[in-house]
Amino acid sequence: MSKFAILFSQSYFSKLKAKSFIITTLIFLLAILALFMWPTISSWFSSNDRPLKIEIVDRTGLNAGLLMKGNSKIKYSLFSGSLAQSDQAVKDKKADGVLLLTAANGVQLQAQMRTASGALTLNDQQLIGQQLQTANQLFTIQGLKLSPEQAQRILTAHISLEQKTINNESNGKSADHKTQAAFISYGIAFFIYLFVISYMSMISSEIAAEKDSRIMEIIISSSSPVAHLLSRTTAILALGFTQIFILFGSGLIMAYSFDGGKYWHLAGDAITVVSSSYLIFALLFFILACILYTLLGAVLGSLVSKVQDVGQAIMPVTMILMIGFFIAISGLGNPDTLLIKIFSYIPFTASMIMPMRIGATEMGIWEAVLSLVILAGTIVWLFQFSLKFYRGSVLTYTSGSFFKKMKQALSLSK
Amino acid sequence: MTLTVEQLTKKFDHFTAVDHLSLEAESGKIFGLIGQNGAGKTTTFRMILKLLVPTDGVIKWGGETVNTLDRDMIGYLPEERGMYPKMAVEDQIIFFGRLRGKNKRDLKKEADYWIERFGLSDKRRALTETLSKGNQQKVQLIVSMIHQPSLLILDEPFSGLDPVNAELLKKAILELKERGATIIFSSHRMDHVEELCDHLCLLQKGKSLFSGAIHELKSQFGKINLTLRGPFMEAQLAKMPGVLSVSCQNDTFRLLLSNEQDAKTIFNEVTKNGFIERFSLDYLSLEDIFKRKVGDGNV
Repeated sequence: MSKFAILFSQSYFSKLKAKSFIITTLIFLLAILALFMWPTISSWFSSNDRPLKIEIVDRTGLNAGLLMKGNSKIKYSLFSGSLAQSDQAVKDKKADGVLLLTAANGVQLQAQMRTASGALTLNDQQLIGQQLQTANQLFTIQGLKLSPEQAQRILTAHISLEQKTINNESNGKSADHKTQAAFISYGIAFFIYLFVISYMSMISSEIAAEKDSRIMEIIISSSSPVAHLLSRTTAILALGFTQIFILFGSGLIMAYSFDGGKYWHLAGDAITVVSSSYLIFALLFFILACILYTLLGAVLGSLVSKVQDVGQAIMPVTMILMIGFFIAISGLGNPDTLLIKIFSYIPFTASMIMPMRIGATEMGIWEAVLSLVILAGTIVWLFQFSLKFYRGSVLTYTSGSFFKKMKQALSLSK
Repeated sequence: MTLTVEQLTKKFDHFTAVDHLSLEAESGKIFGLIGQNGAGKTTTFRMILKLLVPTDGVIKWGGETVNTLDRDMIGYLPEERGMYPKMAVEDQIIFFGRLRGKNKRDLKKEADYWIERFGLSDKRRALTETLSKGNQQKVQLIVSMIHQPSLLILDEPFSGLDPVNAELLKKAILELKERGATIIFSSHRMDHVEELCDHLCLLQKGKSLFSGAIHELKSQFGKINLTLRGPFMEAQLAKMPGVLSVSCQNDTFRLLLSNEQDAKTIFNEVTKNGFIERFSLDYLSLEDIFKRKVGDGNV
């Protein structure tokens, strides 16, 4: 076994068997499980729910009450008695509410909801509002004395805006398509954020701990600084990808087995929305982001002398990461801003933002490639720099400022 | 094989940590590197280990100039001890042994031997963090020699050890010497150096004050260390010819002479009234030599 392999397996398996790793993975798995089980879980609690019972007191004289169509959650029935009687029914808890319909000037429908206090949730109110809206449209159409066919045509009339770009052969993306891609990209950005936050501090702490306990000197004198740096970064990446693999794998299995594969098809639909080139780009950006931040974590970890200083050292990187993430959130609303364009080229945020641009805006493929090249170039540069720098930084134990440490590390590695 | 260092120099910006240092450590011999804190001992070790790149100078192994010594043949005990706190003693020893290119089976046998030898048998599966400092030190030492290195570098191996364990360590070092390893170690404890080393190098501010066999160094000064016990007065002894200084501890006087020859005159003088309890003439102790060489006297 080569020294790299020995160091790699020691680092990888010790962390894989660590309680913290097992517990976080289990928590994530439970969260995914809960997500899939949610409809079932919520049905346990709402199975006793009877639909809301609303009495309609129709004072329009035009049978507008018949236009209110209920559903599984709300049942409407026409009340034949007086308003006072209907109010009494609510007070006696025979009904949940009374909908009083009147017509001003014989054409303008007016409605009033009469309930005991706190009887309706926001959701119920919105639902009744929508149903009332539809009823109002029907009422207006009736007033225009249209034939049922004419009325039906008005109600079902719908137009979709097809996008056609005329300077190349492929069609542009539709708004729906863009919205979905923006959401998927946001998911990717969130995933990168989560991954980097947890794994970057892990590698920084590991290296700082080895430095703090002075194991470093023995390790790099028995193997080499390069072997150590490489083994630590690859082990952390492997650990991260192992966790992702476990979570994704179980997610897919759950999607396949729950609710007769309903979610499985949903996932399939999501993938068909985005193109395969988008998927490849997103994956590349994700992997490169992981490498970039792991390497950065290793360098920062090698600079501090004590484990408790790690949080402070990686703080600026966490800030950059948060900026990237918030810009990605802003892109959900409008992915075509200048801000997003700029940050999609900055290597530290590109991987969170560029996928959104690829999926949700119209841009040349060269822009994505350029951003990817900048990111890859940064990684190569950072890697070369850290190789040179690492030998010195792992032997530096000064307590001075960040730049003082950098300076000393560089002079030691000469 | 012999490790030779010629004109080794390390400069950090404007500070010279090691200044044209030359030394030669033979196989089957123990070489001591002595100096105050900051004299450049650890920097020298780090250059030999290739953790630092020398500014100037060459390192030879078996007479041949090498850029990097084969890492698998070096054993290194750093000044600051370091081990994985959550790893069991035996696993720790085997992990670092594998990192020096040995296979698990051989290491297991060797580990058993040394664990037994250092009286750690009941701590075999204990996590390192639960061990006492002395026991951790023993594990660290086993780690540094588990792969039977041909070159063993020990940076302050005795610090933090009680006398019993220091004795165990000394015996282990001598055993490795018997096996033919080249051993270099640094220490503040001159008694250990005196007892173990065949050759030594005195370092001050990166410069070598002396490098060679220990008896050569001692004979440079001659036998000027005289110990007396008898019915004398301190003032009376101080007036004798060639006496540089007198110190009295309990009933024993220590005289420092300017010349070995003066001892005879003093002998005749102090025995003129007959029997005295003690008269012994010795070389200066290494500690005294070191204080004299370094000058300011704080070791």
